[in-house]
Amino acid sequence: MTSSHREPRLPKRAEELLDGWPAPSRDALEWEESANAVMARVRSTSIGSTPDELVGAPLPEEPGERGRRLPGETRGAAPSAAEPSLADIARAALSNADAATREVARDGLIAAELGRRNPPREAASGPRAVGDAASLQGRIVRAPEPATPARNRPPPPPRLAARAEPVAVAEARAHSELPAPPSRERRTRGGALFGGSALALAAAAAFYLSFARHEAPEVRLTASAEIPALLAENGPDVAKSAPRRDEAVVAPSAAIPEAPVATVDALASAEKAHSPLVSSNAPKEKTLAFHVRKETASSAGKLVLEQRAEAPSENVGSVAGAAQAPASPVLPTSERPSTGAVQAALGSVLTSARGCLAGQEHGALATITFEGRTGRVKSVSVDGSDPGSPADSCVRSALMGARLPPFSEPTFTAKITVRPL
Amino acid sequence: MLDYLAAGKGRGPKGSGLSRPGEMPPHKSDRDLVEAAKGGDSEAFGAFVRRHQRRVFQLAVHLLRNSAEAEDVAQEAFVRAYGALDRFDGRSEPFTWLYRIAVNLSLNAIRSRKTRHPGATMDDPRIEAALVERRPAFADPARQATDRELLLALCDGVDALSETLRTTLVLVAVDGLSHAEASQVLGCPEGTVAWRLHEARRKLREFLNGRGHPPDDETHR
Repeated sequence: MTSSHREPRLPKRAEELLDGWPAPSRDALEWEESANAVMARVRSTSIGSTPDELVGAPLPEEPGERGRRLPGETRGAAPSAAEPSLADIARAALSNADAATREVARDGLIAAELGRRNPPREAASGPRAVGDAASLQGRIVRAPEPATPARNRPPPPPRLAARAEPVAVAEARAHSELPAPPSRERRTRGGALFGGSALALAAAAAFYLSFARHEAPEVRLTASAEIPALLAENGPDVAKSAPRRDEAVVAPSAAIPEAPVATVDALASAEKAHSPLVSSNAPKEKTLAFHVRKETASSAGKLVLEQRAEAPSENVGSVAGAAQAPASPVLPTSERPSTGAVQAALGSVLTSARGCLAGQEHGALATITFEGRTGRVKSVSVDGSDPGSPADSCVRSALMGARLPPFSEPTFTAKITVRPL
Repeated sequence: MLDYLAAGKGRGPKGSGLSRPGEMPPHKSDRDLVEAAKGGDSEAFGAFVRRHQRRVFQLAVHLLRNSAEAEDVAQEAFVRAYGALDRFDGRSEPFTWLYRIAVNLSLNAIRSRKTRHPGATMDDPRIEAALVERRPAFADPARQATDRELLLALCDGVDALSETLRTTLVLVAVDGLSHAEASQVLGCPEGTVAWRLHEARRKLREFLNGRGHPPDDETHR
């Protein structure tokens, strides 16, 4: 029995009977006959013959429960095999990618969640709201810098616009297929539009970091003799922008539109092997060998990707391997987290925490201590709920999921009132 | 074949008879078996069936309160699971996915009944199983009679719960699934599972109290 002492207790004997209540006993022969009967039927069954509703979530919500389904759940239907949504992509990045990607995807989802939660105000602000959403993403908002060389630079792809500043975001939106910012006449629909936009930003950020994987301010590609040929095989866009032999391309990673398309696409094809949700036009089984090394001393924090002409050695891995190289640590950018970051972090887990208190009359006051080095929750104390009760542990567990960008002070403590849903 | 038969999770489900001391260590996980079955290895799926048939049957008995129906549903659950192998995406454990199918089939069977299930009687397979399993060698007849009464009341109390609360209670309290596993089966957050359990136990306690089985803390007052 998994109940705690705070759960309603049944009579002791009833608890004993309930705990591990057996089924009618059978002997081994009966079980074997049953298994054989199943297998006889299985042999005449084809995979794919079961209707979707049998693999869907089975039960209706209980009145007063106000629970939510698990992410991606549909009641009475199988998980959709259709095109993944942007939210799915961001969530996939959360679960599959490295720490840096996860944090950015999480930030993006938080922005999307906040956008959904405050639709009227956010929608009324139109493009400004997009800027706010982008600012919530902290590290991924950087000023664009010119890259060298600038020739043959492709137009900035809309999907990468999430890493630019709000103005650039607005420009990217103009290029993108996303709905335009809501007009004054359509404010009532602004929440959905903003939510979609924020999710798009989240997915784009997740995409980018899945490709680039590193937050180093500079990525250097030294092209080799084979690169143009390899890139030519990858498609005309790639070949057009491929660097010439022995030409060093220095591109600031912050200026995403200026990053060589060849790099992004090559990494994308490698990424495809990691995430089935990511689609790419690049052919499968094409990998580029990159040498990955971290520069020290003069260029601390920089990650260098070099393509070498010589045969692969043990230091030379595929792009996929390069993408899995340990990311440079996220350096704290401020002494303590900003109010917005704290609000976003707590807002992302507050609904879950409130769900733990559903049905209760009183709320609880939670004190959350974040660790500066990691931005993760170090401890949670909850006043107002019964210690050790399921609700108490549920609230703690929910609040432990909050994340802040790293900050330089050892800890930061925030208090939040959790009211029942 | 024998390699397949050991439980893959290393966790003994309550009352299922699996993972008992002395059983061989696991060689193939559930995931391995399911992946092999997807690739056309019917023997692997047979091992998966043998590993989980007791648990699925037990679950079905407690949901359906009828051994014959439970047997049919348990078999059907495996056949349907095989038919849906292409949709098992590995996000959950194979056995929680199988459980979900069994729960769906059980609920379908209950909903398709033309008459409402009568109150529990001594023929109820749950009562029979509990009395047989827990009968001590030298049982006190008075104690047995009390147990029988309590079991009847317990069955009636569980049956009086809504489908949602009853299924959650059976999965966690009777079958021994963790909240996380139950949330996978039911497709709801763990917090919802905890809330449902709390609510189910509260209602069950009220029911038992009304039937003359007050909680122990009230008995001693």
